[in-house]
Amino acid sequence: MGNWVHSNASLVVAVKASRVMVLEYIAMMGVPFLLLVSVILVPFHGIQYVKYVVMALIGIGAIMYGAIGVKDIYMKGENKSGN
Amino acid sequence: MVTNEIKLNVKRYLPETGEMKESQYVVKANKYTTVLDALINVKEAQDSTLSIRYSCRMGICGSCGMVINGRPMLACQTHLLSLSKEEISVGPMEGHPILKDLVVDMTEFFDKHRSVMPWLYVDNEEKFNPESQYIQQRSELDYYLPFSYCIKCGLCVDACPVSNTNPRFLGPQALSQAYRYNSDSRDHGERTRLEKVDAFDGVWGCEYAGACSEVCPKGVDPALAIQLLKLDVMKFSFTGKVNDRKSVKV
Repeated sequence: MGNWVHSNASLVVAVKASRVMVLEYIAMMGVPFLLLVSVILVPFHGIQYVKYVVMALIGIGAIMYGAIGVKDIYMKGENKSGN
Repeated sequence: MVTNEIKLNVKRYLPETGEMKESQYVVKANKYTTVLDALINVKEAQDSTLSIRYSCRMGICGSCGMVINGRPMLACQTHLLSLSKEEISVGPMEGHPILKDLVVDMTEFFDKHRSVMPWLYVDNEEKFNPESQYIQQRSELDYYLPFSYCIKCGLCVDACPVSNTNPRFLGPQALSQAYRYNSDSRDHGERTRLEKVDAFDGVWGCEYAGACSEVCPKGVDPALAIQLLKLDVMKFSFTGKVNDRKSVKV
């Protein structure tokens, strides 16, 4: 990315952004979907293990989405101070 | 012909002192008078120090982009009476560095445009020893035609909330043109372009506010182009394949 304008952010050069963004999109769409699944599973009592797996996935997704959100805020804050 | 008197409040930037001030001019307008006509009249008859940039006066060159009543527009395509107000505010595009009065610096804008290689990229033997014509079917032309009407006026960048807060963001104009050339069946530069725009300040910087498409005077839909480009980037990043179906279904 040598001829890339304004490429002084090391993160931009080091990480292929699509690899991070795919996680963001999966979390963005997956967490609400899994929340819906968990609500549907409430009346079923014999599948506690499945419920735990869904809950765990929701937790992982929420943490992942939050972490990417923090990265976004950090990058935008950095950009704002550079103005 | 009916003429009205319109007050024109022009936001001016004086580089000598670094101050912004507003000057008011009264102009006569009929139904054909554009904001650009009024500004030219002001410069010729009232205040020769007013700086404006214009060229074709017919919405082709993209030189006279400015903020009219708070909305980025081409001055030559905006009729004064169509704004339905007795007082009209005119200011420079503040999404670009202002040089003087209504004239902005487009250097960075064109640097970003150039960075996506906005030309038909051919890197094979064909470039130096062409053996056949670049024949293009109508369905292949239709695939990229809507995005090829860009006149590089910079209104989309001025309207974009991301470009206004993140100066590193490539911007809707450059990204939509990356998609336009990637979609051209004659082009072979897709891989290079997709690698370039796959960055947080590239295609992923777009938050899909859609303001770029709202203000485009030529009906280009940069927001759509960027979302389609995101799909192409994702496909290329994970499969290494580029879009090779560059024609609309007939």
